[in-house]
Amino acid sequence: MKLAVCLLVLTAGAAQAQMLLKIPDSFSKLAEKAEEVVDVTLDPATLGLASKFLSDKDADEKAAKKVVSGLKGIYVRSYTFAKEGEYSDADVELLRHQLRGPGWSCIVNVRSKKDRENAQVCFFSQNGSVAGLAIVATEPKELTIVNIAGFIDPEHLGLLEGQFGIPKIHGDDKQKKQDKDDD
Amino acid sequence: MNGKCIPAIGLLLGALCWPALGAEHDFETVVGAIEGQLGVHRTHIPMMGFAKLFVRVSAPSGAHGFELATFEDLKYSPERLRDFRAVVSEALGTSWQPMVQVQAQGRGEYTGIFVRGRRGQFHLMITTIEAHEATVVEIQLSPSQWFDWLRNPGTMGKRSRHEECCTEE
Repeated sequence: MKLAVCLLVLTAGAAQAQMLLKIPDSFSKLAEKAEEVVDVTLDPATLGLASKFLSDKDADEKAAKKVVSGLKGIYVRSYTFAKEGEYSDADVELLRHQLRGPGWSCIVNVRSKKDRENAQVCFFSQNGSVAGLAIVATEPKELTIVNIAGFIDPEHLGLLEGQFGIPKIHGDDKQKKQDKDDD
Repeated sequence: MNGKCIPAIGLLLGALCWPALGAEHDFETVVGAIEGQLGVHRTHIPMMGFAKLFVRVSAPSGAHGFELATFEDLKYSPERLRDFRAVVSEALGTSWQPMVQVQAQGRGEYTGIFVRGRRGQFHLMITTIEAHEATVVEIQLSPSQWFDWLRNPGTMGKRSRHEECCTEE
């Protein structure tokens, strides 16, 4: 019995490690070249605080609480460069290589030839549920990596977009109009 | 004024100040650590006590309290940014969660935002440093206000660096 529990814990730990993207060591050099690096870490403790204190009475807070309650972490790293060509395809490949590992499936790829923007959205599956998410978004002068750990209801994905440091992926007219209205 | 009112006023002020005491200790620890590292003293800000009392009573933008320390005329090289980050993290300890870090290595600028939940309130510790100036701000927010900040943490980090006051909408 103890052995089964240990194996279960080890398996869960291994899955947790797999769903968290490792930022390659070479990215420390990118950070030095970047004009700006934004690092957002909403770890289990921070998300736990959010779940604990968000109210069930307020509709917005209730919806947010529902979204974050299943999450174990939101990690966003964004590099902005002063000019093009400061990061290479090889740098991005170090991330994409991890997303070809067991459990991962990349099912959305948003590409804009005009603006030379690309966003790859990958899901980590565990026991038939979405247990993790990763987004690698590239622009000529910007590289953004988003990694969400925890069980995510696909219906809630839209709620996360544009919040908690997660960039908006869909560049449709409706979204652009919304941005304009917000400004 | 009736003399009997004085103890009551004292108790009221004490009650207002009590929740901030633990957080204030952490604030002073960070300020002390920065003073030690940079070899400077914080700049004296006149009327700070009145400003803090005003914020505590009127809660502008959902902020129920704040502490502020600035350091001016620094002689600080961008290469020492990592030292600054380490000093702040070490001073805050593990009860504060690092939430947002914005770094511009070339310009020698850094902003670190840490959060801690305490008695139904959120405390944000915001530390910034640039070439000649450093700032430490602690803000006490209600959960709903903190959630508004949480929804856009990247902007929060950038805004904290570019604006003096962090709670303005």
